[in-house]
Amino acid sequence: MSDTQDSYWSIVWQQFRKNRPAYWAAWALVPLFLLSIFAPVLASDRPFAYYDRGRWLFPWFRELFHVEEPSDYFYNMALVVFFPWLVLGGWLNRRWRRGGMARSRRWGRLLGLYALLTLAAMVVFSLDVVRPAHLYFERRFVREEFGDPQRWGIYPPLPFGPTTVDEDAFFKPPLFVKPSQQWKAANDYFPHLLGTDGGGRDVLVRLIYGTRLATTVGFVAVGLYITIGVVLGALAGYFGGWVDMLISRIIEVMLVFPAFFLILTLVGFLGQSIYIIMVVIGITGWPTIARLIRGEVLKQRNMEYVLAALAQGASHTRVLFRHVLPNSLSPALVAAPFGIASAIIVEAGLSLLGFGVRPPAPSWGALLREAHGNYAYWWLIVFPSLAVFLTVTLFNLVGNGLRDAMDPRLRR
Amino acid sequence: MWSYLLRRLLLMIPTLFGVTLVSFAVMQMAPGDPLLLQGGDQGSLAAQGETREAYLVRRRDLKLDRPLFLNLRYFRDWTEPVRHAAWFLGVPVEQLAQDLAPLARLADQTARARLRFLHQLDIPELDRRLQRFFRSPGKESPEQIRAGRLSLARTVRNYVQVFCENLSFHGVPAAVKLLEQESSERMRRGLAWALRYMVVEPFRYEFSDNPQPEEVQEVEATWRRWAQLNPQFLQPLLQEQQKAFHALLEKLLQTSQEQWSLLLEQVPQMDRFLHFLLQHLLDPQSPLEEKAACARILASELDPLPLVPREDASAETLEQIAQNWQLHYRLHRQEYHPSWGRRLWLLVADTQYAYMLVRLATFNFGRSTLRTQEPVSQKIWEAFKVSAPLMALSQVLIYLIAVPLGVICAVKHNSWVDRAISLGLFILYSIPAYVAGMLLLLFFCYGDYLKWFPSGGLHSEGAQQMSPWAYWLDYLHHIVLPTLCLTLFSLAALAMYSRTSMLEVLGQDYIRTARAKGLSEAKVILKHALRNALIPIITLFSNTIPAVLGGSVLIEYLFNIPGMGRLTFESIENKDYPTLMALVYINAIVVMISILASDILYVLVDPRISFQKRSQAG
Repeated sequence: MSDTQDSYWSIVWQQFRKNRPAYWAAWALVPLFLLSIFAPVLASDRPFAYYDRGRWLFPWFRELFHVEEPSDYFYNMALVVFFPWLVLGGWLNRRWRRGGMARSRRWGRLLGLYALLTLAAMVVFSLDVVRPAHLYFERRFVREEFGDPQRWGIYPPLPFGPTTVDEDAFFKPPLFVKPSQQWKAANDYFPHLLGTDGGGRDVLVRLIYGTRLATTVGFVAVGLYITIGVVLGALAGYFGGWVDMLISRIIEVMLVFPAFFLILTLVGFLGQSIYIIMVVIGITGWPTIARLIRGEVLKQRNMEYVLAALAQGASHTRVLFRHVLPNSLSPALVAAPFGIASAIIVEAGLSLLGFGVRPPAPSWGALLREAHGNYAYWWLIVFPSLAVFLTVTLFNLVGNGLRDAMDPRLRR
Repeated sequence: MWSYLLRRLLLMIPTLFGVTLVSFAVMQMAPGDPLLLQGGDQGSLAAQGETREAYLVRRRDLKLDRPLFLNLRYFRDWTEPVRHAAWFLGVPVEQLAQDLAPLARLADQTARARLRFLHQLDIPELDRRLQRFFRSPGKESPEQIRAGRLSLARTVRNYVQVFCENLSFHGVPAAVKLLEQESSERMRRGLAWALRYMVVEPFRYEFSDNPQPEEVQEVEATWRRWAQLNPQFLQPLLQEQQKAFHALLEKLLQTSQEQWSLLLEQVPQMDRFLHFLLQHLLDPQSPLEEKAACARILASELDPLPLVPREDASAETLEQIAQNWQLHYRLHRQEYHPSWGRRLWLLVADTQYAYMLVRLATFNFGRSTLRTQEPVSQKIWEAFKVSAPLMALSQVLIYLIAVPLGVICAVKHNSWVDRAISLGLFILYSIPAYVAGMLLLLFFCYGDYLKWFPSGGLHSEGAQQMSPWAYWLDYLHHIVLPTLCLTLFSLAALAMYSRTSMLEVLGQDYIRTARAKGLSEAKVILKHALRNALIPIITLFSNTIPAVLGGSVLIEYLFNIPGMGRLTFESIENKDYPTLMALVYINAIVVMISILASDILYVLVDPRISFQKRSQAG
C-alpha cells in the first residue's frame, strides 16, 4: 500500500518539478515562513540584551512569551523551538539516513517533529509557572537611559514593534527619521523604511508581522474546511443512501449562500477575532471540498480493490479511511493552495471593511483601511498591496503546479 | 422534461427549508437582546429615542419573545415561577438587596427554590457575585459590598422583569389566581408588577380608527370599571347641560380629529363635560361613532386605571389594582385558555421560527430597525437599481473579453501568444479586486498628475441640473473605474475555463476529421470547435444572475456606490437585522433558481444530454 502511495507522490513531485514557476514558488514559501517565524528577530522594539548598570536584562526573550495575538504566540513558540529542532532534527536525520530511509519520508517526519515541538511549546509555555515572567511590560527603553554609558542595548535590525504607538510619527512617509530633538525612545534614531501608519507604527514591521496573521488565517481556515469537507464528503460518497441524501442537501444549502456575504455577516455578528474569522471561513468553505471528495469517492467505491478489501473482511471504516480516501484526496489537495490564497484575500478584505482582527493587530487589510480615509498616504496602499499580491501569487502558482502535476491528462 | 422539472422543484423545497433554517440560525447568532446586555442601564435605549414600552411592543410585533422552535408554554403550569417572580418584584431594590442574603446562604427550602428560579434566568456571574457580596465577603470594603449587593439586586430585578416580559400572557392566569389567593402585601405588589410586565396593553380605552361593534363590550367594560372607581362621574347632569354637551359632541364629530384639542380647550366646564362623555359612552342607546369619540376624548383627558402600586400605596389601592387585573382576565378569558387542538397547533405555530417562515414565505420583510424605519423591500429595491446596471455591464464585459481570450489561447496553444495571455490572466487572477481598486483610486483619482476620474459616487454634485446627455456622460465617467475593477479582476477564471474547454474540443477526433476534409482553419475553429466549446461556458452564464443581484461589497465600499453590496455592509454595521435577513434570503433564493436555470440550459444547449439521463445521474 505505502509503496504505491510513495510512487504516486513521487510521480506528482516529478511533474511538479517540471513546472518551473510553481517549483520556485514552492521554494519561495520557505522564506515566507521563515519570515513569519523570525519576525521578532528582524523587528522588535525590545532589545535582545540590555546592559543596565552592571545587570544584564533580556526583555526581548521575555516578550516572546507574552503576546496578545494568538498567531504571534504560535509563531513565537515556533521560533523558540526552532534551534532545538535544528539540532535534534540534524541528529535524527543522520540516523535515519544511515537506516536507509527515503529522503521525502525523512523530511516529512522532520516537519512533523517541528509541528509537534511547536505545539508542545505552546501548551507548556501557556502555564504561568513555566514561562519567563513579563518583567518589563511597562518599561520603555528611553533616551535618557540610552545616552547613559552604563546603559545600552543590542537591538534587532528593525528596532520597532508591530503595535507600539508613537505619538510623534503619525502618517510619516517612507524613510522618515525623527528630528533629533524629538528623540525619546532608544530606537528613534532609526528611519521608518516604509513609513508609518496612523498610530506611528512602522509599516515595514507591520507588514512582516502581517505575514504571520495572513499565513495563520490561511492555513488554519483551509485546514479546517478541508478536514470537514473530506470527512463529510467521504461519508456521503461511501455510504450513499440517506447519509448521502442528508449531506448532499446540507452541501446544497450551504452552496446557495454567497460565501463572502455569509462570512461578512457572521463575522459582523460574532465579533472580531482571529479565531472567529478562521472558523467562519472554515464553515463556509467546506461544501465545495465535500462535493469534490464525494464525487471522487463515488468513483473509487466501485473499483475492484474496494471489493477485495471488503472480501478480506476489512471493516467499512478501514476500507473508507485506509483505502478509498487516500486515493480520493487529490482534488482536496489541489484546492488547498488556492483556498489559502483566497482566505488571505478574504481576511485582508474583512480588515479593509473594519470587520477583521481587532485594530492594533498588524493585518495588511488594516493598513489599507487607514489609507482609505486619505489617499495621500500612498505608502499605506502600495506596500500592503504588494504584500497581498506576492503572497497570493505564490500560493496560486503552487496551486497551479499541483493541479497540473496531478492531472493525468497532462502527464507525458 | 416536465417530470425532471417537477423533481427538481420538489428537491428545492428541503433546500429552501434549509436556507430559512440557516438564515434563522445566523440571526440567532446576532448578539442577544439589547435590554439584557445593558443589564438595567436604560441609557442607550433612551439614546435611540425609544421607551422600554415601545421596545416591548416592537419586540412582540416581531415575535421575539416566543421560543425558537417549540412552544411548550401552553402546556406548563406557571404558578411556581410566577410566585417566585412576584416575590422578587414586590419590594424596592434596596429591600431586595437585603433579602438576597438568605438566598445566598441557602437558608431553607424556599430560599433554595428561589435560587433555582434565579439560576434559570441565566444571570451573568450570579454565583460569583453571590459568593463575593454575601457568602464570604473577603477583601472588599463595606461600601463596595453594599454597592455590589445593590447592583446585583438591580440586575436580578431586571432579569425577573425580562422573564415576565418573555413569559407574556402565559403567566397571566397563574398570576391572577395567585392574586386571589395570596394575602401578603409583598406578593400582591409583586404580582401586580409581574402582570404589568406580562401584559402590554391590558385595557382598551379607545376604539380603533374604524370602530367596530365587537369592540364595544371591552371598551365599555373598561370605562365601567373606571366609573366604579370614580363614582362622582356618575352624578346625573341637568337636562339642558346634557343637551348642550351633546351638541358640542356632534360638533366635534364633524370636525377633524386634529382640531379636537383646540376645541376642547374652549369647553367651559370640562369636568362636567367628561362626566357627560362617560355617561354617554356607557349609555346603551348611544350610536357607535359617538361612543368612539367619547372614548377617545376620555382616554386623552383622564388617567388610565391603576395597574401597579406605588410604594406608598394603601391596602385599599392594592385591592383595587387586584380587581382591575381580575377584570382584565375575565375580559380576555378566551385568549388565556385556548382549546387543546389550538394548543397543539400553537406548539409549532407560535414560535419565532414559524413566524419568520411565514414572513419570509410571503416576502414580507417588515421595516428596517434604523431610525428611518424604511420598508426593507424598498431599501433593497433602491440599492438594486444602483448596482444592477453596473454589475450587468461588467458581467457582459467579462464574457466579451474572457471567452475570446480563452479561445485565442487554445488555438495558439503553447505559442508565445498563449504564454503571454496566460501569464497576464494569471497576474490578474492573483490581484484581489479591492487591492486593484485602491491602486486605481490612488493613481487616477487622488494622484498629483493623473486626476482623470472622480473619486467616488455615481454622479457629480449638481448632476440633477445637467442636460440628459451631460448627465449620462457624467455617469459613465464615474463608473469607469468600478467597472474596470469588477471586470478585469474577475475574468481570469472564465478565460482559463474557456481555454480548457476549447483545448479539449480541439483534441477531439472530429476536429481532425474536419481538418482532414480540407476545411479552412477558420471554419474548423469557428463552426466546429467553438460551438461545442461554448456549451459548458453558456451554462456558467447563470452565475451572473446572483452576481448582478448581490453587487460587490468591497468595490462599492471603496468607490462609495450606494448599491447592494454597500447596503449589505451598512446593515451589518448598523445591526439592521430585518434588512440583512431579507438580503441573505433573497440572495439564496436567486442562487438556487439560477442553479436550476443553469441545469436546464445545459440540456437545452447540448443535444447529447437529456433530462432522463440527468435525472438518473443526479
